Amino acid sequence: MRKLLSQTLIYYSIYALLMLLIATPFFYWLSLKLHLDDVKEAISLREKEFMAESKWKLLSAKDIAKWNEFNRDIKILPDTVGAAKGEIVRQVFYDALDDEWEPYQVLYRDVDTQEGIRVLMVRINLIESEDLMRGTALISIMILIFLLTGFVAVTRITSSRLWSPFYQILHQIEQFNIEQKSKPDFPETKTVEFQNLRQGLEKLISENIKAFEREKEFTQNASHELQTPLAIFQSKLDILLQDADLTENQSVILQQLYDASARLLRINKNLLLLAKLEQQWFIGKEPLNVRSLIQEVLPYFSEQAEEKALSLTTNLSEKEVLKANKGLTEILINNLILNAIRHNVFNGHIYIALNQNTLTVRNSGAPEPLDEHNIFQRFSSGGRYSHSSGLGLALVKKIAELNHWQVTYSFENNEHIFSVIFRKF
Amino acid sequence: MKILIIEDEKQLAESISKYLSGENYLCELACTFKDAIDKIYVYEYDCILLDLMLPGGDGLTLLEELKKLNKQDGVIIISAKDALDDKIRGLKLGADDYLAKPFHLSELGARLYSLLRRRKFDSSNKVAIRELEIDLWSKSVTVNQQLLPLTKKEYDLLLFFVGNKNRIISKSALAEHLSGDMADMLDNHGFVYAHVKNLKRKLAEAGCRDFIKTVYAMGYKWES
Repeated sequence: MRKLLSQTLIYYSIYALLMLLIATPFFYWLSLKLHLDDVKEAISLREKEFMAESKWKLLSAKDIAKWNEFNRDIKILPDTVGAAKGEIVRQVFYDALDDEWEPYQVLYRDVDTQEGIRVLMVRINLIESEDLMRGTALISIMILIFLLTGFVAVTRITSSRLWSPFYQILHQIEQFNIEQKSKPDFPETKTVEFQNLRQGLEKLISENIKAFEREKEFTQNASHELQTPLAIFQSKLDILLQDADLTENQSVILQQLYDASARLLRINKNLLLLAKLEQQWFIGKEPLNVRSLIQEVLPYFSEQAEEKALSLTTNLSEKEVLKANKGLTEILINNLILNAIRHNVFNGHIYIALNQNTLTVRNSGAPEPLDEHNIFQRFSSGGRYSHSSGLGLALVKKIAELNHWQVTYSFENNEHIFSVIFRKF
Repeated sequence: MKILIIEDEKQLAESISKYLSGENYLCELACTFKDAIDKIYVYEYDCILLDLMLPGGDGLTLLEELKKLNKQDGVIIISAKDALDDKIRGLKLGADDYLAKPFHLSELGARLYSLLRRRKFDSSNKVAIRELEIDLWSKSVTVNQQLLPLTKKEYDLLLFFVGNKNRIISKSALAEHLSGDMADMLDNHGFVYAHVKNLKRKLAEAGCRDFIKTVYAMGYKWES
């Protein structure tokens, strides 16, 4: 993952590098060509000038010697030249002054003097002009480099300024938590796109918050409304139970109705509790001793475990003291142990351990791991286990979240392991 | 014993009234706040069952009203709002007990029984049923003047039966009574059976007659 700006800059840099790689030889080649053309033109010009005056026809041997003595680059030579005539060629000549061989562009042509056929040589030294040419190329490259680096720098500065509203918005969204109800405060911007983004996000968020509130309210109202008919239903069952004329069949059905009613009540109670948790109704915190909380409920659970012939072992070593809501912490502990009993197998085992800051409940059960991502969702297992309310683990998760504790699930050695990691305050 | 049931859900009020009427209780109903106030001013009751959410007023205001009148009626709050706040406020205002809806009628019966017992007697408060005697103060049980050692659960169970004499008590009501908040978590009622069995055995061994009858598929019944 790369940042937007560095990604832009990477493309710019690649382009700049490519330009430099291609442009440098091209510039060199171009300056070279232009210069050579110039040189060739100059040679032709000098040749034409020389030939134009036609005085060369009168040159004597003495004149030629004189001429050659004072002309460095235009000479009249005896006809012993091996090079091609009439065209400009490249040749190296020894320079006695510098003591080195230097490149020249040379033109040879025959001239008919009084002394017979002689060869006119017009030449121009390339060595100085090559320096010049190199200089030209270098300057061009320098300009190119300055241009590109400047371009990158400007892009960098303007982009970070242009994109700053975007980054601010991004930061705000990252901080946003729907449960805290506070809408993010996006920065004002003059860029149309960001303004649109801002408006779009604000709309989306406020609708989300509304939907979230509605859902919470609905759950709470629904379970509250259900409470009364459920109470009536149960009281009518209690009345019906007193009827002396009930047949055996009817009694069995009545018992089944009791069970169904108990389950309804349980689901409703947990739903109501979840809704309350989501509205953060429980603020009262007090110092709690987790060990004694567990010990208080163990007798009840031991009784329950006996019915399934479960072996229940505990190892509550540390006297962990937490600051949390007592009722909620009890619910968390109860639900974890309950879960271990409910989803256990006959003759299975449960192991409860409490150490420094972790409560671990390990139990035998179904031989395959549960879906880690789903088990803490509401009603994720409701269909499979007819007696569970499907809310127990959702409650555990929610209570842990409220206290900033961590709940984990793993499956090792055919054991389901739930852990709560408490954080001290 | 005169009981006033202040409850706006007519169906529920009727169920309560019907259940209690079986056992010497005389029940009157009040469905609205005004109705209730009128009745409180005019009559004396042994116990008032009070719903907190009433058409026309708050049940807690009614409690304050009772206090002002210096009435000695016992009050059990029955409320759908299972909020700790309400519970504490209610008890502070002089209510004797708090029962969250929904509840089993037998639970209400037991609570009502022990409330009325507590209020009726001051120094010694004993329930005698033939050879069985329960001392509510010291929480001890004797059979033919012989002390019968019971666990706390067994004692609770015994009182629950006695509070719901001659009525069938469902296993789920017993489970809920015995394990409080956690009863509705598991549908196992086997532990109820175990506790009842122990109680019956202890009573029988002490020479007490078998008051607790098992009612097929439904629960238990104390017959005396």
